[in-house]
Amino acid sequence: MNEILTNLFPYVMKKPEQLWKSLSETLQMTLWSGSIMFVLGLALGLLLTVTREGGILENKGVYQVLDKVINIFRSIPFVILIALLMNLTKWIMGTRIGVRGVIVPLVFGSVPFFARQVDAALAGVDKGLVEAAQAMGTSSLGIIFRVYLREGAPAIARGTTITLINLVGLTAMSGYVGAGGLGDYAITYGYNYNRIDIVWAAVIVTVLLVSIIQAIGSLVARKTTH
Amino acid sequence: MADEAMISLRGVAKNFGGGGQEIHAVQEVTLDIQRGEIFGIVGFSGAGKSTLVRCMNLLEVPTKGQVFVDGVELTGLSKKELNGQRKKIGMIFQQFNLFASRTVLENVAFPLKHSGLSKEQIREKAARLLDFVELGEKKDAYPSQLSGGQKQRVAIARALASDPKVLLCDEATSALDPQTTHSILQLLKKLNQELGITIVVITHQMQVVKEICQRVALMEAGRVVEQGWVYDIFAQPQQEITKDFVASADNSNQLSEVLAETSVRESLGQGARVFRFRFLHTSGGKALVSQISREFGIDLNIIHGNLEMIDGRFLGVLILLAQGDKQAVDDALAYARAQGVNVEELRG
Ligand SMILES: Nc1ncnc2c1ncn2[C@@H]1O[C@H](COP(=O)(O)OP(=O)(O)OP(=O)(O)O)[C@@H](O)[C@H]1O
Ligand SMILES: [Mg+2]
Repeated sequence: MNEILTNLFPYVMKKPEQLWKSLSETLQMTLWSGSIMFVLGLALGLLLTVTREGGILENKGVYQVLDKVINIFRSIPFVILIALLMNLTKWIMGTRIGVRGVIVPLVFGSVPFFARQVDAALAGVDKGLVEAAQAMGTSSLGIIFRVYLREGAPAIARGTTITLINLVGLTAMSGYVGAGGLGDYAITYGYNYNRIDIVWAAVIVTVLLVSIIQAIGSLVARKTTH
Repeated sequence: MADEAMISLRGVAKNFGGGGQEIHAVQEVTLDIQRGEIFGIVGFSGAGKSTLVRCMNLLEVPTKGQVFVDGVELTGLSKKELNGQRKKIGMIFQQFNLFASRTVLENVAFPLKHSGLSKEQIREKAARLLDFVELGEKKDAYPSQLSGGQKQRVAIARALASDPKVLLCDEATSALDPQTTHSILQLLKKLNQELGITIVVITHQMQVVKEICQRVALMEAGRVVEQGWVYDIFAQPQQEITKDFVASADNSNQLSEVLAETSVRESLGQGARVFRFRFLHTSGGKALVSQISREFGIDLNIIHGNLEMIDGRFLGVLILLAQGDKQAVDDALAYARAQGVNVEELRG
C-alpha cells in the first residue's frame, strides 16, 4: 500500500506532514469561519425575511439598508475583500496574517451569500403557516423559532451545504495572507515546483472534504423533511 | 352583559395598496354575531369575505372602524394583549396550514406552549382533542400522510386547543369533496352544540350555509348587502346577488339559461310564462297548484321541484310553466301570493 502511494505521489509521500498540515489549516478556517458565518448569516437572513414588506416585523428602513449592504459585499471579489478588511481584521483578531488573519475576510465573504440562502429558504415557508401561528396568538419570537426556523430547516440545511462548499473554495485563496491550507499547498509545493502529484493530492483531499460536507448536509435535510 | 354580541364590527373598512389604485376590500361593515350561533358569510370571489373575517382576529388591521370580540375591543390592544385575546379566537383555513415538520399531536399541542400546562398535561389535552375530532389513532402521523378531511380535523383540534370562544372558518371545506365537506360540517355543528363555540363560516357554497348556519350575511364589493335568518334568506331573497346564491343552492340557477334557448321557448309554446313558487313553512299544506289551475282555468306545468328542511323548517320550490289567458294567470298569481307563497316570474 505504502509502496503504491509512494509511486503515485512521490513528492507528497516525501513530506506527508505538509499535506496534513494544509488539510488541518483548511479545516480550521472552514470550521471557524463556517460557525460564525452560520450564526450571523442565519440572523441576517431572518432579519431580511421578517423586515420585508408584509413580514411579521415589517421595517422598510432596516430591510433596505441590509439588502444594499449584502449586495455590495457580495459583489467584492474575495482577494480584494482581504485587502479591504485588513485594518478591521487587525483590530478584531490582533493580526492580519495566518489562519487568524483570514477568518474575518472569510466571514465577510460568506455571510452575505448565506444570508441570501437563508432568506430564500424562509421564503419557501408557507405564509399560511405564519398566519396560522399568528392567529393562535404566537409572539414574533415564537414565529421565528417555532415556525420559520423549524419549517425552513431542510432548506436551510441545503443552503448551509452550498455555502460551506463555497467557503472551502474561498479558503483556497488564503495563501495570500500566509494562512496555508490546501490551495496554498497546491500552489506553493505543487505548481511552483512543477510537482503535479502534489496538485492531485490537494484535489483529491478537497473533493473528499466537499463530498463529506455534501453528505452531511443531505442527511440533515432528509432527517428534517417529513 | 349576557346579551352582548360575541363579535361586533363597527364601521369596519379595509383598504389595500396606496396612491392611485387603492382597493376597498371591505367598506363600512357593521355586523353583530351573537353568542353561540353559527353565522355564515357568503359572496363571490373578491367580495371581501376573507378580508372581513381576518379583521375579526386582526390578521388584517382595519383601516377604519372597531372590532369587538367577547366584549374586548381588539383594535385598541397592544401586540401582547392582542396575542392573548387571539387565543380565544380559533381559526381554520382552506389550505389547513398544518406544520409539516410536526406530528399530528405536536400540531395540536402547538398553541399550548407557555399555557402553564406541564408537558404531560399538554400531551393529554392534545390527545383528548384528537379523540374529539375522531383522529386519535393518527396522533403520531405527519400531516403529509393525511387526507384533506383528516388534515382539516387536525386543524380544528389545534384551533380548539386554547379553549376558544370563537372559531373562524375561511373556506374550510372548499378544498374537500361533498362527503368530506358534510362530515366536517357535522363536526363544526358538534363543537358548536357541545362546546358552545360561536362559529363564523366563510363560504361561496350556499349548501354549507343551508347545512349549518342559523344566520347569514351576503357580501358584494366589500359591503354586506343583505343579512338575516338563513330560512328567510332562502325563502325571500331580496337582492339580486342573494337570489343568485339561493338559486345556486336549489339547482334552479341554470334555468334562465335553459329558458333562453330558442328551441326550449318554441317547445314551451307561445305565451307561456315561467314562475318560481316558494312555499314557506307558513304557506300551509293545501294542494295549491291543482287548485289554482282549476279555479282560474289555466294550465300549469311543473318543470322543476325541490323540497327541503332549512334550520328545521320546511321550504318547497316549484318552477311552473303557466299557459292561459293573461288576466287569469295574473289573478292566479295574486291568489297564490295571498296564500303566503313567494312568487317570482322568471324571464328567459
Ligand atoms: N393583501 C392584499 N393586498 C392587496 N389586495 C388584497 C389583499 N388581500 C385581498 N386583497 C383584495 O381585496 C379584495 C377582497 O379580497 P378577499 O380575499 O377578501 O375576497 P374573498 O371574498 O375572500 O374572495 P375569495 O372567495 O376568492 O377568497 C380583492 O380585490 C383582493 O384582490
Ligand atoms: Mg377568501
